[in-house]
Amino acid sequence: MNSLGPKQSGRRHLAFPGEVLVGAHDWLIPYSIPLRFFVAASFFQVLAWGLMALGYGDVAGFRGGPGVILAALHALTLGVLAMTAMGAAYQLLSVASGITLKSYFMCRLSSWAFLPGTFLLVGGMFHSNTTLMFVGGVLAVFGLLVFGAVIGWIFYKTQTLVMTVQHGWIALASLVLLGLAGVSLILDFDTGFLGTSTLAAHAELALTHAILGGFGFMGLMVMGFSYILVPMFALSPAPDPKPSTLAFGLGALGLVLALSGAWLGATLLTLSAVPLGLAAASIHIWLMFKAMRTGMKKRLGVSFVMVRLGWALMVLAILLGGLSLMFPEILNMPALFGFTLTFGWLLTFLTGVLQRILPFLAAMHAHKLSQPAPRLSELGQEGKVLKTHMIAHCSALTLVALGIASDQDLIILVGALVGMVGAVSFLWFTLGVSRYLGKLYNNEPLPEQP
Amino acid sequence: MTKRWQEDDGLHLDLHGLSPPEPMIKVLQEIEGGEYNHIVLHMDRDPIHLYEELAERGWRGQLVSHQVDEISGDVAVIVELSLDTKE
Repeated sequence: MNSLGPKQSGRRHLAFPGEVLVGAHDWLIPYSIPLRFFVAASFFQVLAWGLMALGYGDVAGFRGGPGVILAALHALTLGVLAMTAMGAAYQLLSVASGITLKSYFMCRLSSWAFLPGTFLLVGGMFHSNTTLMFVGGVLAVFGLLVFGAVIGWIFYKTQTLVMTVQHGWIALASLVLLGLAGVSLILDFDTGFLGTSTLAAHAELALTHAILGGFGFMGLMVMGFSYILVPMFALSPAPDPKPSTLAFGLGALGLVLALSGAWLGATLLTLSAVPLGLAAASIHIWLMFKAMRTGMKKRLGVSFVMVRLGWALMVLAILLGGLSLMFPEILNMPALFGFTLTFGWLLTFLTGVLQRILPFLAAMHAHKLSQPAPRLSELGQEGKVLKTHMIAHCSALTLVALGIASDQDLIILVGALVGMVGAVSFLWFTLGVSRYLGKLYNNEPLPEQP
Repeated sequence: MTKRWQEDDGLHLDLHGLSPPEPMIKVLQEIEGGEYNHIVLHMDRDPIHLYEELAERGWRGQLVSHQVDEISGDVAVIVELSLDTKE
């Protein structure tokens, strides 16, 4: 199968001395690269909810440690969230920046390490097998670092996308520390080396790892990419750079304070990050709503219901983070915070965005092969699949949060099963796009358009 | 800043240096203005997301030239847009 497709030719204009005519779509990476991440993320979403359903009795009281809930958490954070971020970054960054990747080997290498690595890590956590966890963890971290090197190169080369690049650098720095902390935590299960000398104890490092992952790597990456995605979907000018920079500065300062406090075990220092995070989130959301209000595209569909809900849950996650430090025994606050941060804010936002990115991926490749952009029905759904996902996802969030807060395991079980239904719907949607692209490049007949 | 001029073949827009989605917004504003039925774009990348928006508005676009300077790496793209008369 030729995933690159034919080159487009055209009338030749001489614009520069020594110019060469190149294919018009050299910046459009082979669809198999982003798609493998999106398909894997959709499978891991089913797995994450499924593992939560399996370990429903341990969700509300979860405070860390190997087992089914840690496996569910990492199936989500690495398997869905980081996986989606990798696919989206590969697909969008070269298109948005105009920077052409000279080779796709590094993109493929990151997938070869990250996909099996995540699977082994989740399996190791499920079976409490530290050797498997270590092998999986090292592979996954290696994949993430290769990914970091590729997008770091694009950040370095591009002259545009200022806000995305600013957020991206801090997200990448967080990624490196996140990987180090993660591997150290796995090693500590067997060796107990943490807590000696100047090293933070296991619990402190675990909190540091969670903040690095949730707010540092994924949070800043999501906020940075929003500066490309939201104006692109709403057809609005880029947000005003001054408030954007202020939001970024407040968020970055909040992150540093939260990390310092978590590392040192200084609760007050960690708490001081909460108002900064809330201010950063408020300005960011205000900018995004302004972009949607002034955009030429008013009807943004189901995907932006999810995106808006994601933003509301971002604010709630920051608030619950503070409350979990002050009142850890009330309403199972640490578990409620972790659930709201990961399954709430990040998963809701990313599945909303993915609903737009996947049809874009199909449309870009259809255009490259001189085919009309596919309709939703050609992508294996008529809107019903995504509506089912949205309803099931929102119901699952509500039920599991209620179950955690009220310590009712059966409500958590029902919520996780409903979440699984939504995840299966989403997987169907992703596979529909996958089938369409396969037909497109294999010259199989596509449905007739009127 | 957008340069805008008219030639025999219609309106020309130079959108070099604008960050996405600014070029797309400028183009759609011209199209929705309804004054022209043929527009030539001079850009630094193929406006991939524009084509879907054009189709929704009864227009079509065609990439007619794409060059990269070997030394600087700068890209120059020319895209012709026209009202789709098949509609």
